[in-house]
Amino acid sequence: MAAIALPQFQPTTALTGDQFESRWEHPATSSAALSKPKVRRYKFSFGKSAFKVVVTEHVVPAGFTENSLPTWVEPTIAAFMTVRSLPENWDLYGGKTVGSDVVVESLSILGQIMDAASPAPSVVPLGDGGLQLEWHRNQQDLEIVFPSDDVPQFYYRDRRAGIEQDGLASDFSNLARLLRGIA
Amino acid sequence: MSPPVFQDDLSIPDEERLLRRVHIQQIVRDDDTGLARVSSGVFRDKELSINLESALSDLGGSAESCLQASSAHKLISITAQNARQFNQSVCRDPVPDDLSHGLVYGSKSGSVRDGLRAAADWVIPANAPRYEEIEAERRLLGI
Repeated sequence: MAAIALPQFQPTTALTGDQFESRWEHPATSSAALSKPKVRRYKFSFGKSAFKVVVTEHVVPAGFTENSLPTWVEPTIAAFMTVRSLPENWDLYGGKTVGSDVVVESLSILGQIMDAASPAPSVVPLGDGGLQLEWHRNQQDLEIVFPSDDVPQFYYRDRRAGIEQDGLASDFSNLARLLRGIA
Repeated sequence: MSPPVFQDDLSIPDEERLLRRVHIQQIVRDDDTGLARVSSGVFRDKELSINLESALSDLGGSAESCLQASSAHKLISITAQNARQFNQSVCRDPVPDDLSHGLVYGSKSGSVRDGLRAAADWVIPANAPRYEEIEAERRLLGI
């Protein structure tokens, strides 16, 4: 059975306050389309906040145990909650609190570019209330910026080859490819 | 009303150190070295606040005083020359409670942000710490 390729998040829905529900769906294979999907629910607590991740599997992938979840999910969600907890003026330059909408947006994109073995990103708050996801591995840098008042953008650099790319973070297949190269 | 445009102040010498506070959550891990590195997100603002070290010194302040006794922040610097190399203007912008305040002004693409990040030197602490030290500090601070 094939390993997970590009799992897909369904749109992530904010429940109340700092509660979010993320849906994680392993892609169906042709032979799995007729079988009943298996749904598993995971809950994470962080301070006063809670996350629910709903995994819908059309096929249980090889090597997955009953409670397995991609290793990047839990540390990433914890990091989101940490940056969400920063107070106004957290940077001493009037920095705004990170908005729940950018967390939802970034989770949605992560769900479309990460695979089960992807490394968790660093989650960095931005002064405008946005956030930035970063990976720095194997002499490469990938940064996806979620400004509070603009569309997501990315910046990629291969330090060895001196290659740079930047632009809108709308080509998920390109971002997924860059991420696989970094991992 | 059009937004303000800040001109490069050529009375600020290229070697002037421009100090910038960095919150501990803006420090990430470089997996290749295990060292902490500052996120390029620090350099995203079009009007990037800094303190001019010479002005700070003239006022009797120091790099340490920039941190306002905050244990959740570190201090880095770039030079005026670094900023100008990336087509940024450097200017004084004193405000009532921060007379050494200045700006690194200009649009900052991903490449510019990364260039400024790479040019930045650590001031407090004096060298890039191990990332594990940053994680330990976060745990102590409860963040």
